[in-house]
Amino acid sequence: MRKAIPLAVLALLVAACEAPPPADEAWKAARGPGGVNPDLNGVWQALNEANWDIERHMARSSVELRDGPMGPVPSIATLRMGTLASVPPGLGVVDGGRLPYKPEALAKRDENRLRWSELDPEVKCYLPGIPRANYMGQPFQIFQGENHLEFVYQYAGINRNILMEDPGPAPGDFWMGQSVARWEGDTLVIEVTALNDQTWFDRAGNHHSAAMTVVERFTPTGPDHLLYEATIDDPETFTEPWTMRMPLYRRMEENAMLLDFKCVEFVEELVYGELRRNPLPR
Amino acid sequence: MQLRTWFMLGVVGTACAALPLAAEIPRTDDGKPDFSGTYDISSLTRMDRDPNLGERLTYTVEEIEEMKRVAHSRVDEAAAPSDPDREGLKPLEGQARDRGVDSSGTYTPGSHDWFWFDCGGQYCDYYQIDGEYRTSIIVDPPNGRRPGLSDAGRARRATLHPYYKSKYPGEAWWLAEGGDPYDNPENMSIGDRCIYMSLTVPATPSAYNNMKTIVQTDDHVLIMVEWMHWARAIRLNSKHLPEDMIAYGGDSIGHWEGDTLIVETTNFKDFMGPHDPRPGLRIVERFSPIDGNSLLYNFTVHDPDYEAPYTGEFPWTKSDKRLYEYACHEGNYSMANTLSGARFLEAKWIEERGEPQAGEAE
Repeated sequence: MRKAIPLAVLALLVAACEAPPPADEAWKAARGPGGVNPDLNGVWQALNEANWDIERHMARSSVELRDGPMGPVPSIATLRMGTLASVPPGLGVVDGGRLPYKPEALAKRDENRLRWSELDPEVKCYLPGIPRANYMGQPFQIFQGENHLEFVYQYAGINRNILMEDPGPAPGDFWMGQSVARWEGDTLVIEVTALNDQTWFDRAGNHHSAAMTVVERFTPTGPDHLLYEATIDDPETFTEPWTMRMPLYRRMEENAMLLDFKCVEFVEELVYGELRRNPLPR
Repeated sequence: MQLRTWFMLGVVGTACAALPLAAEIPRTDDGKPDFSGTYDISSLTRMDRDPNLGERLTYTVEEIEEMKRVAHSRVDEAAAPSDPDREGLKPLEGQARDRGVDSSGTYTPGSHDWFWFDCGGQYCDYYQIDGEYRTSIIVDPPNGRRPGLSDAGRARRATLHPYYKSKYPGEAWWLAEGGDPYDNPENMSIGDRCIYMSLTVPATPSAYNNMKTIVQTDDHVLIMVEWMHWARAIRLNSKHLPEDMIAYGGDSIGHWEGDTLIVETTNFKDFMGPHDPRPGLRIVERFSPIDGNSLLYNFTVHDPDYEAPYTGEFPWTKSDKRLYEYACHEGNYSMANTLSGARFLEAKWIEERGEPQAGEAE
């Protein structure tokens, strides 16, 4: 015989289905050094297609295309890479899926995409800027002491100083900008200013001007997950501010660590090869 | 003599007055000394002692005052407004590598001016330990100088690239004398290539960008190195990577012995020549608190290239200056200019004298 379910329990079940319990009451992040703020220490990595294209996109046969007789085909520069240079599909990390470009900025993006191998700063191992450094397919590590915080990225061995006190406007502009951080509850908020206009958002030519400011938010959502949000404000390029968001995952390997990726020497043949005394075939 | 005694008493008095605050060593939650902070390690103190000083560890106050006076006058002179009617560049005595005259009598531009160089601390200072000015960073061997090269070290250096004995081109001398100093980007030093600076393990003061930031966590000590934007992550209570995992900065692991952080680095990739592994190269560094404002940095280099290990030490002093971005590769116009300049000189040489004869250049 089945037991009848008491009405009160049923009511509770229904209520539970309608309004799931807020996550922040179910789980609270462990405290870091000093015991006040959550512990962000660890090796983290994005697991998505954002570095290929932060916008919603279908797969493409190549990161750089040219016209073919029956539609786009891979460019000469990417041809021999075959599938390795193709773009995996993604639903995008941008709220709304598309960037609110001004018309001339959209035209520049399309031009960038057609000349990817020539123009993408990542191809030449240049510093990638913010937010791109956070989702490049390589891990980064957060070092959090009681009063100090530093981000280190495996790509190009970038060290990013996070200032906990605002020194005022930066004396110049930088590839990685000037990062000034504060805690809002359990969220680390970093305001990034003084960025130059040389970096891109991804391999799809999405770009910005030196007027861009970025507000990043890192919020622990579980022991091994951070929610990363970045709001981009660049009135020279976009009609309105926009936000990207994605989870960041802790690298769970027991021996997870950053290794050497000094890519400058990887691109010397590309950048300087023609200036050798005896140039190699190109 | 009397004057000096009064001076020394004054120093002691000042030190005592400042003692309660300075002696306070900050500590982390687990009771270890907290070295976190930003340091300026610039200094005029030499790595190797002047041989004339023998085994003397410290300078006298009179000596150091005179040395600082000379350094100050040089910096002050460089900082003074320039005469808009001044003459062009002139060769400087004794700096043949940086400045000189080529065979056609043309003056070469030389190196950066003094504006770019760190003169040491706030204003051209020398390292002080226990109130005394050191004559060198090296303290062992007792003559304060790195030991001689071993047979292996001499043999290895003989195979290194001619970059290390190159001279200012002026003309394409290598077409006659042989060698390939400017043939490829790989022929340049890894500093010129914007890959890595050789002054990082052990850390020693350099011409500029001497800032370091330390961040300590339970399982890591991070040293942010401003020059060539290098983040040196030291894993605590860990094991070294397998020996075939090499890096220019090696692989650093650390542990605490009392209040001293001991860091051992192995797995080096040679930063000279063909970037092979450097088996046997092992560097041990010791970080000990001096007071709340400084730490004593001590290092011992076990390098098969030398006849014996050597040890050096100097203080790291906290600074309210900041580290800035070191975007070297992104603006490395010099590499392309050097290579294309060499190609130009080669073409000029051949145009004037014809193709190099057999036996001249390879």
